[in-house]
Amino acid sequence: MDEFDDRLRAHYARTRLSDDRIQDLVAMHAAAARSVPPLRARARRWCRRMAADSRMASGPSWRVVLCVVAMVSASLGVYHSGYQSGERLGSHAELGARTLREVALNHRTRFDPDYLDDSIASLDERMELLPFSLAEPARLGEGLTVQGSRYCSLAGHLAAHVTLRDEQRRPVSLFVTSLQPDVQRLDGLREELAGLDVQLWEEEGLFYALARHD
Amino acid sequence: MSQELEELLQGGYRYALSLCAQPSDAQDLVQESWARLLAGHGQVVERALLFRAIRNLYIDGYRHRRRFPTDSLDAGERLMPDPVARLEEPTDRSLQRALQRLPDLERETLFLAVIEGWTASEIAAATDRPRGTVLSTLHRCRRKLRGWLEGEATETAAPTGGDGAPAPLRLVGHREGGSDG
Repeated sequence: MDEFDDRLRAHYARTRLSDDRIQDLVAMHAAAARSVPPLRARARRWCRRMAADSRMASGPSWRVVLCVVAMVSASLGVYHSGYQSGERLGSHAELGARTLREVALNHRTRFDPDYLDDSIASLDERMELLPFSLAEPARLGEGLTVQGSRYCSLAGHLAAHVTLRDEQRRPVSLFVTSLQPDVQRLDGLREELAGLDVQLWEEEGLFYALARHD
Repeated sequence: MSQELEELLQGGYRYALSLCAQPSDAQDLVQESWARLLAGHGQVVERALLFRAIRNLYIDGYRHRRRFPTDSLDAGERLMPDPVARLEEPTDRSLQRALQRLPDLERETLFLAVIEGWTASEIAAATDRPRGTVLSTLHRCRRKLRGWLEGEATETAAPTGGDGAPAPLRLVGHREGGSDG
């Protein structure tokens, strides 16, 4: 190994994520470990196990059987996760703290929006993958200009991240997801995090999170 | 376990940094990839999986930026220090600057070879390029970096004389042709 490689290694070794950021990412991992694995992952693992157990060769017949069984397994999974939703995500306080932190972190990401538009109604028409209709919450207030939106996740649910600007042209993030039993418990939470005012609430059958500078 | 996760995440962050060169972009890239992997797989402990997710997300973002060039919503608007995103400052600033001048995929290749210790064949498989291209890329970017660092060393060693003049840069060695482990 030459001197240049050593210098490069030393350079990258000094480059590290902050402890705070690591802590948040590890917490996300712990939360995922506690929760029931996503259906997709469960179905995939189940298929792999089945294939390994029965030493099935690849071919159309067993694939059809696997698909049917995977569908049944998925249906059972939906029932199972709904049944456990009250407990699987940990305590109310823990889920609340994690979600508030997730909102603050997502607000700070600098990915460009998937869709650029100046109204939530137009964004709703374009975000076809959302399993709910995007609606502007009454609590959003005046003086905000919509910039665009992208898909993201909030507390493990598919969500829309709508980016806005306030009157001082500062970025504001509104997150919208469907109202699930787990997030419903977080209605009314509000906290100041890293210079951001983050609040969570439910309104008209949707769950909202808002992050803006104090 | 958390020690392993930290190592994994730090590795992922360094890889992301090798792709996009900007610490804040690399942080976003790791966080987004991590969230997507956790949503899709439940738990993530495999380095290769994290690296692939980061690379895919980076390429998606790159294509998106080319198709829909926009101003970043946060560009130039970090209104206050971000305590969530504190970074340790790299001290080898000349190397940092030189790395930032490299094209992203060359920097990635160099990172995978030198920092991760991958062979040229492994890099070729991971990046969908012929092995010969990987080897020539490694050779080219080593040569470029060496040239830039030597050039900067010459400039900074020029007769500024007095106190506070930057210390002359260490000239680095060069191995021809890269490695294939």
